[in-house]
Amino acid sequence: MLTLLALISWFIYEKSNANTPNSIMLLDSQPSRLHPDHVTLDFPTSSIIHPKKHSSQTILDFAMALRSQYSGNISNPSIQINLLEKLMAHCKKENTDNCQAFLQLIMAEAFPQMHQILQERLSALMIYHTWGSELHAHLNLLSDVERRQLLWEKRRELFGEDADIIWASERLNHQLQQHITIIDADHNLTLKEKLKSYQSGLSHIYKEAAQTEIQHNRQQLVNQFLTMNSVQQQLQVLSKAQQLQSLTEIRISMGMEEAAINRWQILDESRAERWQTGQGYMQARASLVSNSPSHELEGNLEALRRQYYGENSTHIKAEEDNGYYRFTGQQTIGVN
Amino acid sequence: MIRIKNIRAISAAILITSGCTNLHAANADKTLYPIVFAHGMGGYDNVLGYDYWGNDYGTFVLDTCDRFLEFSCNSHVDKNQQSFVSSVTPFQDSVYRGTELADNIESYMATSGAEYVNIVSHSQGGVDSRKAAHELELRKGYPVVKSHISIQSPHRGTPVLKYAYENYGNSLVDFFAGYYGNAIYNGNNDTTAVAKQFIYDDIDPNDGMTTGNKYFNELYPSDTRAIEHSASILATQSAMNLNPGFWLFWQTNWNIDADGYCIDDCDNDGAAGQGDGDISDRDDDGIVGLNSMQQGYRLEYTQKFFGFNQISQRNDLGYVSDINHPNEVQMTSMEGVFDQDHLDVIGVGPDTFDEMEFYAAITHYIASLGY
Repeated sequence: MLTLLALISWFIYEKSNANTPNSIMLLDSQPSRLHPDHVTLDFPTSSIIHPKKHSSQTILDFAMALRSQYSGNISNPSIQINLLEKLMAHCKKENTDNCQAFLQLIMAEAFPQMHQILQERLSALMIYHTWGSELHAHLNLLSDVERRQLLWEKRRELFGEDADIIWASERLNHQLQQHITIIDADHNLTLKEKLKSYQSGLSHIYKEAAQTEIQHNRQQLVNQFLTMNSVQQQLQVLSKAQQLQSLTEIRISMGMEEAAINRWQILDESRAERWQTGQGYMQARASLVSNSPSHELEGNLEALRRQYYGENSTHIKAEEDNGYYRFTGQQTIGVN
Repeated sequence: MIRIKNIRAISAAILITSGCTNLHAANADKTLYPIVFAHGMGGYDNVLGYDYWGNDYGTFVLDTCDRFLEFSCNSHVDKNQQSFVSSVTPFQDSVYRGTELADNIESYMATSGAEYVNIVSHSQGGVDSRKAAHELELRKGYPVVKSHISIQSPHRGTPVLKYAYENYGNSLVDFFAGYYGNAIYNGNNDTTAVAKQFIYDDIDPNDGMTTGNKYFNELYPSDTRAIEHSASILATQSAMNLNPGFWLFWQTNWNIDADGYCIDDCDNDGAAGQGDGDISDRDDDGIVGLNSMQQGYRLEYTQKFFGFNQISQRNDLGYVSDINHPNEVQMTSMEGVFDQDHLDVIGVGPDTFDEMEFYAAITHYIASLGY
């Protein structure tokens, strides 16, 4: 069925695009004005098979290259998609005639036992690309939940349960995002409980790969935790000493070793000093702005910047010229 | 380690001085220093609902294959490749976001122990990165950023944001929300600041601020004081091949014309340079014009079916260190410009662009420099 739909789709494309050398199909005759009703196809192809246009040596060369790169893992759906997209990209780049026929021949030569599966996969992928292009502008306007629902309905329709394998990374990313949202919204949890929940969530989502994920993305994962609104709220009410202790506990629990903890202690102190100076400067600045006569204001501000920042005062001045006052807000504890 | 690094640096120097550096990404060499990814406008975890620095299936572009039978990873990069993905406020100017990026890199350095980093940036991330590099140099007292490679960055502004600013004015945030979703109303987002940042000249002399790329570039150039090696990747697409998402901007039959040369914004379209009178040719990527993209060296990306994709450094086009004043060739030449729109190189699909090979090739290029 999928193959049939794909062939019809490509046949319509070929008919309507017979005199157009590039990969775009327009449904009306106004090429200078595009809108979401237009259909874009990602690469040129044809439903009309002309295998003689490709030499048998070309087919053999492609097949040999693909076997050497993919044969060990070709049964995996993600690998199949990777292979097919590589071939589709080649068609697009070379503006290959009769791309689908070309790909059929290559797949039959390279992976004869997988030929049927790959052909169906190609058909599904072509439909998915066409569908995605048609609906792109519409998808942008949906909420995250609506967009995900629509995408996953289509993926399951076309790829069945293999969609879970093909989009495995996206699913994990989404699960982590959902987990963070839940923890952040739970105001009954203490900071330590939130941390414990966060870590158990990581273990649950990534399973046996959890430690590897944490090792590779340690700083991102610590930042994700620290930038939760509820975590910052709980950190902000602590004394400076308690904040530093909490930060150290969080970092150790996320696997940071002693050397990293020592570097962080120096950085935490440096940042605390930076913010203390900055907030002092902003208070003094506000006072000057309120009390200085206008003809003296700029000179007074210049002197104040020098007093607080010395030779770096020109950088603060440049930021202020740009409308940026970096110490107006609140420090994000453990982040800046 | 130092010796190995020097050998690599000498090898790279020999290749570079020979005219054109051809580097294959068979299995990209590991970089000496970690690669930091700096995202563009909109945020890395929610660009149109997809992940930013991923392929179309949500796999991070430098996710190393270090587990048995791991398929969702990048098999082209070394399994010990180090990287860090920064996240900054989605909609803010580059002074604000660049400072956040510096904070994130400073944090990563504390966690990892790295003393230097490389930055790979996309779109606004390329402009943010220059501010971050200068901020880090101030804080650390040495140039922390070894290399910075920007991809499709609006270093000299973009007509899109002038168009949006002038046509949507007070409803600018709603205009952006129509494109990026309601998340734009959250937090510290400031769409007016974004628009003013990417209009080349100071658009409003009465707002008490000096905004725009021109002034920003004077303050935060891509000089070796803060960044040892700067380079950029340029991509454009003809009007008819652009991602349909850009149609939103085109509902008034409007398009960018950005392949002509002049000093500063002579045609007052919001970006330095001018057009050649043909709005539909391959002179922009839907958001950024050709004449706004180059800083440092221009890199050429070549895609191959047999063998692996490669990044080449186009020494013949020279080095753009004074970002406000590239020469005519640097602003208008199509040499080395590859055929993609603004969103193809990040995880917004479906498309057939191979993000994994692309970022592996970039990684290999950085490694070849000895960084």
